[in-house]
Amino acid sequence: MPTMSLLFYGLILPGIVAGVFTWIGRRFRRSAAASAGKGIGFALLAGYVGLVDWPAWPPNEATQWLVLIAPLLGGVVGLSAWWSHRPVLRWGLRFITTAVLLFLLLGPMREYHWTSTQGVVWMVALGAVVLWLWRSTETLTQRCRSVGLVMALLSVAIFSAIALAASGSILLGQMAGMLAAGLGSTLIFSAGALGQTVRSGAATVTVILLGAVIGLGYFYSALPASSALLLVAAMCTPWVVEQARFETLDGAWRMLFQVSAAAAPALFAAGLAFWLTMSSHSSSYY
Amino acid sequence: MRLNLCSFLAIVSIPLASTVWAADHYEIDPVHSSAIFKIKHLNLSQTYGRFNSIIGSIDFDAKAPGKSSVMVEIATDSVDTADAKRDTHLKSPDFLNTKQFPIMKFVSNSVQPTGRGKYKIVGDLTLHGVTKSISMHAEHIGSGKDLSGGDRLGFHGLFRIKRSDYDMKHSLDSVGDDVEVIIALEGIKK
Repeated sequence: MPTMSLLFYGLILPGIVAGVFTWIGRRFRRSAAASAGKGIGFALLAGYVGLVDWPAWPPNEATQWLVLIAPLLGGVVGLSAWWSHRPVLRWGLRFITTAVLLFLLLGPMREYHWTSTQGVVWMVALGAVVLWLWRSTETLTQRCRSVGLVMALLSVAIFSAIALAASGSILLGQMAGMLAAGLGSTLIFSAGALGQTVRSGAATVTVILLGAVIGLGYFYSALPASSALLLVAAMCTPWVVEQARFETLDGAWRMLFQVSAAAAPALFAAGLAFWLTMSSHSSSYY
Repeated sequence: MRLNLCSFLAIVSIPLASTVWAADHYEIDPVHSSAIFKIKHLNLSQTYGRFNSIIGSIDFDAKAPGKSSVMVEIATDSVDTADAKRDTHLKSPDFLNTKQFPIMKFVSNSVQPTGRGKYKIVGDLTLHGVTKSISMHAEHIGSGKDLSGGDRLGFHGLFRIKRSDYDMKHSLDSVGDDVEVIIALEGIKK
């Protein structure tokens, strides 16, 4: 049955893959670094292979580049975290990774749709956003309570999946769903050691990959600009909430506030994508 | 005298020969050309669609069809299945990925007559970033004058592909792999 196949490859398999990596990271502490982050990346690859096929080599399109890079990203993020006392190397690694990611994913836009100036402006602007998200998420994983951060990102991933599917690409919606499943599984398999898991890159990898999927939805599908901006803003809210330093709130209320602050704009983004799609195309297609 | 006459005949015959033996060049008239496809939905019905933007050229030599050639470019963004939501889905990375692959192109490599006015055309189809050799059965419908006195000709062709061969593998269980394409071209002689 197609539905069971979608459910298995879109949610269950990515969850299992990410869970296994997380468990390995807990079980063998020496390999904990980047284990959960790699798990998120492999979860995306496994789900894509199950739903579509192995990416071509060399990759034929941006989504294929992303699912092939995803498992490597876990290792890169882990290395970046490990070089916390070597800022030059750390920033150099972040910069090179971001540049390569944007170059590969946005190649067709540069080739067919942008002028040289537009290409430079977009690459610089998006590069700045990615680097800021990367740096702020890594900082957050060292400082704030991890459950709230993971739950907040989970809500953004879920609503991103809805927004992307409503905007004309079920595949991109499924990819956001795979990231949600992977992150959720990480949360479950990290019980009692979530801080270690999150610090090993799960949150950072999720933010970068989810941002990339949202970007693919905007540039190559029909995700409205407003929805894309709201989803990216939702990913920034954990950092904003942490800056506000709500020390007077106890654990449960603090977590609720963190999750709500992220879920609200993400929910609005999904609703906006639905409304804009429904108002312009009224049909029973899906 | 004889040498001069022979020289004159030789000089005149060269351009005449090139005129007699060269294929006529036709630009495709997009208004009177069509590209229609059909594909199975849920393995229980056929869904039809079309591409609305077609350009290209036909070089046709009726006396030596083997020297003929055809080139067609279709804007993938012009896909039209009479449902805007489905068209948006078809243009997304799930299927045609029109922002990344804005053009599909066919360039013939050989034209072989197979009957009166019928031909087998073999050429390269580039679709979704993948180029593969295909063959199509084509028929010369006719040639003649239009209302302004220009020369026109028309061809009708049919070919089948598997979309998975062109790296479009999403939803193969609900949207068919086999795609049948009918292409009808009308060319204006230039």
